[in-house]
Amino acid sequence: MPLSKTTWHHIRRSPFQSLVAFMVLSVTFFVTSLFVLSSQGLSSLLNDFETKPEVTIFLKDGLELSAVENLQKELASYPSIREIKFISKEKALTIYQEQNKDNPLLTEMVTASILPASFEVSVSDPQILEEISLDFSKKTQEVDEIIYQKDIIESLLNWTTMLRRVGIVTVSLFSFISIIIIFIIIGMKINSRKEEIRTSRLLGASKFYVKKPFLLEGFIYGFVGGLTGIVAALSLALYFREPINQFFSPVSFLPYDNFFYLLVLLAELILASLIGLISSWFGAKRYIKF
Amino acid sequence: MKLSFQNVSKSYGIVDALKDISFEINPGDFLFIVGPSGAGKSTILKLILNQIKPTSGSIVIDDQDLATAKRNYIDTVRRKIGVVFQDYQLITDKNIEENIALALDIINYPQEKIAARIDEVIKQVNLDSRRFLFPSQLSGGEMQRASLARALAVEPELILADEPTGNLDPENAWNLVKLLKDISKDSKTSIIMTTHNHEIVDALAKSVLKLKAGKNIDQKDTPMSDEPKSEDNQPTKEENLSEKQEITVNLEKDSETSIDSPKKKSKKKRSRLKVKSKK
Repeated sequence: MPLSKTTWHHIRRSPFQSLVAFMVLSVTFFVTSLFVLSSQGLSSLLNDFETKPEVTIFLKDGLELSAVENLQKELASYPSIREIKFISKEKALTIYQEQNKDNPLLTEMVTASILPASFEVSVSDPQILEEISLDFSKKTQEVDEIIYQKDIIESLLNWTTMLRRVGIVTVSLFSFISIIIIFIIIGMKINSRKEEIRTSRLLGASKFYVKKPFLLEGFIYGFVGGLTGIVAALSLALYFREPINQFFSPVSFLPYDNFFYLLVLLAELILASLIGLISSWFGAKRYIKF
Repeated sequence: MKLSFQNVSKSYGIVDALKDISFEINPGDFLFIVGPSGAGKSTILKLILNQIKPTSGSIVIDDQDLATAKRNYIDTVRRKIGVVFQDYQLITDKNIEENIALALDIINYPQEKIAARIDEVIKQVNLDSRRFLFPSQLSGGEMQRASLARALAVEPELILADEPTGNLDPENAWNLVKLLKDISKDSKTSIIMTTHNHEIVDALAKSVLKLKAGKNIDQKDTPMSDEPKSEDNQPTKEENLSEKQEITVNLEKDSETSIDSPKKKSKKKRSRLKVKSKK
């Protein structure tokens, strides 16, 4: 009897045990996929914040051009500087007017003279942020105020780290439970087929010959269960991608590149199949003693 | 397949299941093991299959001592042995055809030839009309024949038959023994058969290993006959005696079916089967 037929026979013979193994893997990989997608979304958010001007240095009125240029040079001397943008009083007014174009009262009362000139500095290493802030806050002659998004970034970093940790712990726990459940189910199936295995061994079947159908069975649980869970989670993500991305606009919380989803599917499918295979291998090794 | 038991003993705790048993069989030999229940008949078969290990002595198959043989060798030896189990050991959720196919699959029989081989053995044991039935749907005799079909299918070098006539009516029992005898003669398959049925043993001039409480108590020649002796297939005493003389002559002429017994040590006879008594 071909191996696939024997395995299918095993699955069909105890359908409820098979269903439990299949469901536990589906749930595990549904949850895993959700964590992977959330983690990716939070990374995109963090990346977006990190690429925005992180420090805004407002200058005092009446500074000479040479003083402004010196400040710019000093800023440029810091490592990990991505961009330094000078916003003159006139440009600040344009930005202000653009932001408040729906409220003419606010724009009429404001002129360029009351808005401060500023530097918007973006960095690639958030550590530099605090250094710049400290150094420039001492320049009381030239600098009026410093604003930087330390708190937001720190908070976002904390959330991302926490989500990743919770994700890893949850996924590990679910994977462990899946392994134990498949191990037990394969053990139960081996016990119920003990006589058949014993007879096969007496007829000359090698240990691997009698283990093969159980290994394939575990692999099938992993593959089919994993595939179901992953496809369910990815389908949900694709279905709700637009409203989610609008909520986090302008950040694309869920990527538009479908290759990303294919990659998630393949990576998780390999993991799910391995979980099925490894747990059934342990089960077969533990219970096939004859 | 060449098999030899050299001073083999087997104990289960304080109970001696076998004590100092020695014998040797060569390709084409036919050996009956007889004795009451608990005499150690099945123990010998289990030892050959390496299901259990001897307490002392050695079992050598094709010049390889099983005690030092690797796992792979044991599997290979088992694939060369056809076993008719006393309790049939048919797989309950497979039909007869699938049970035979499993045995063929285990020995790596060419997939395209499996169906034809199943046909052949199923007809040999006269189970053609039962091939798609499951063991639970068969009578004891039919299960025994199915078990025999599975053993024959793998074209074994040695057949171990543990009480194969136990559940058969006299006619089927005789047919089975005749089939085994023909196989032994035609394909040089060695056969070891345990039985309680003294009539069958008496009707065939084959080597006999008599066991009692694990000990070899006797070996003897019995008359050989290929056909049923009376209407109910049982030979009469007179027929047995007259045939015994006739067979004695045959044995001297035919070295292939000869036996070596302490009672009969003809120098003319070249024995291929040796049964040693260790009382």
